[in-house]
Amino acid sequence: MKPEEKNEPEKNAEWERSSEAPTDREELERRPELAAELLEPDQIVAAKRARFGRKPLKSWERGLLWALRIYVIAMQVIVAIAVIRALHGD
Amino acid sequence: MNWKPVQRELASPVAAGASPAELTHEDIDRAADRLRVNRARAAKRLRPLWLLWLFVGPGVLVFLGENDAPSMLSYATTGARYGIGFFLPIIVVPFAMAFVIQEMTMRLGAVTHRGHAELIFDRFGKFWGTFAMADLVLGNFLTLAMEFVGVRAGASYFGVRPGVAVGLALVVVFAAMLTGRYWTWERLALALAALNLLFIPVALMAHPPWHAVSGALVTWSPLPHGRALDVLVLIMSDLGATVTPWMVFFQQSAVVDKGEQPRDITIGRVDTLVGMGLAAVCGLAAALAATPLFLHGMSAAAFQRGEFAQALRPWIGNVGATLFAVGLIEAGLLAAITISASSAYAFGEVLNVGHSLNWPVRKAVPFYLVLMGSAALAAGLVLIPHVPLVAIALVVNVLAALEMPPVLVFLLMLVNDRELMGDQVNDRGANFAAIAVVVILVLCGLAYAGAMLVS
Repeated sequence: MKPEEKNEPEKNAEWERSSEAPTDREELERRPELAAELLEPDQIVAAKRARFGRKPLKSWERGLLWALRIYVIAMQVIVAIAVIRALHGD
Repeated sequence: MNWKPVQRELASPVAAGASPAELTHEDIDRAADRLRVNRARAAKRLRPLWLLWLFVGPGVLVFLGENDAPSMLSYATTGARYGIGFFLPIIVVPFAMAFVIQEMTMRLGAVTHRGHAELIFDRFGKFWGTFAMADLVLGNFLTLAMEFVGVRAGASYFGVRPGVAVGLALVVVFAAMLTGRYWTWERLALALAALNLLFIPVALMAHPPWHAVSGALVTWSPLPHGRALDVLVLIMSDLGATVTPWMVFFQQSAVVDKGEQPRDITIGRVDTLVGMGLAAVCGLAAALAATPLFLHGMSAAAFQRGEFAQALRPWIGNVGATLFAVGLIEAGLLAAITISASSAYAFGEVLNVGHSLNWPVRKAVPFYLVLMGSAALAAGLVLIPHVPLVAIALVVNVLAALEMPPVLVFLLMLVNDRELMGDQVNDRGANFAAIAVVVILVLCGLAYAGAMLVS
């Protein structure tokens, strides 16, 4: 176990006893800095407006995605055939 | 006072954070949820139980949500048509496959704080993202329609007219989303999900021969007889009853909306494991509940929809049949709630508009419009006369299984993306298991296609 994991409950307990600990949602609304501390920086809605960049696909990845795309379309056609057959009572 | 545990290294360049002044209603709600988690972590007594209570949700909901009306009917058909044998492990094993998938999904959501649709669009671009969304929309819409068929079928046992049953189901779906709070929505959905356990007493009332059940689970026998295509359709249907695209999109978005963080991954895993266990037992129970039909030589073909409850009454009694019908209604209702949420989350993520159940309706109109619209459209389809619902019901699970491989490959690529995941990338074991699931699904799909074409 890492030291920070081991200490987490104690840290939390210490904070819970401190005057800084918010007590409810209303207090978090009044003191947004405490709310921000409870969340990870990239968990905040405003931070999520920025998008992750594109990941360049390797050629084998692109080939695999195309193969699976063709597979799905072919399977959808087969499923459509199954539905048509079922409708005609085959 | 620095009371928070050591922050992880943020892998992404976008993770710059935001000032407290920019916090929204959604952030405050999520922070309030995290406050409860911190209190639970600081507790001296019953800490694991308190944490489990707080974190149980996305994993249980996704698995019990996937034990939906078409799935339970598929399991019941399996029991009624083939009795106790090869198909019992075929029902259980896909749940292990589903756990592999959903664990990766949970981890991806907890680390990136982004939904699945958003990540596919961001990392692979609009072209591949549009394909993924098209598959999701088609699968979700057909499955959603089948949920209302299930509700209608279950309600018909109580003499409720189809229009009234579907209307009431829509009211429940809408009411659940109007809470304006993810936590409340999740607890309501969990309360509803508990009714999935009703299939367990029904199975006990069917008095299955337990030595044969345990024998079948170990030996995978006796093997089914009949047309290869029928057997393959049922295998695909049982696979599609357990691993489907909406589960990936839903759980990741729910994990994000719940505000889970990387340090919650272990407890998130427990939530997913509990969901898998409960769903596997309930799925097995639905199959066992229907085995009297097989043992008494009844044709399962006549009971593909809601007539199972009536047909089983002579063997499981009025109480058993009533519980079966209630279980079917619950299965449809819960899945309607979770699947419509998965569609709305995905649209909100792709369109970059508010997409959280922590928003009140008036402040996230597009999100709730998709949620309500998809449910209303599917419910409407069920009420149109002469729509081939039986034909759709036969293929909806099969379609879900066939659409799964590309979803899984996207998931694998994302969860192996070190820029996104940091040290939470997949290990070799997880990659091996996930690739094995993809291969199994593709091979089953190809076998189904081959049998279809030669029949």
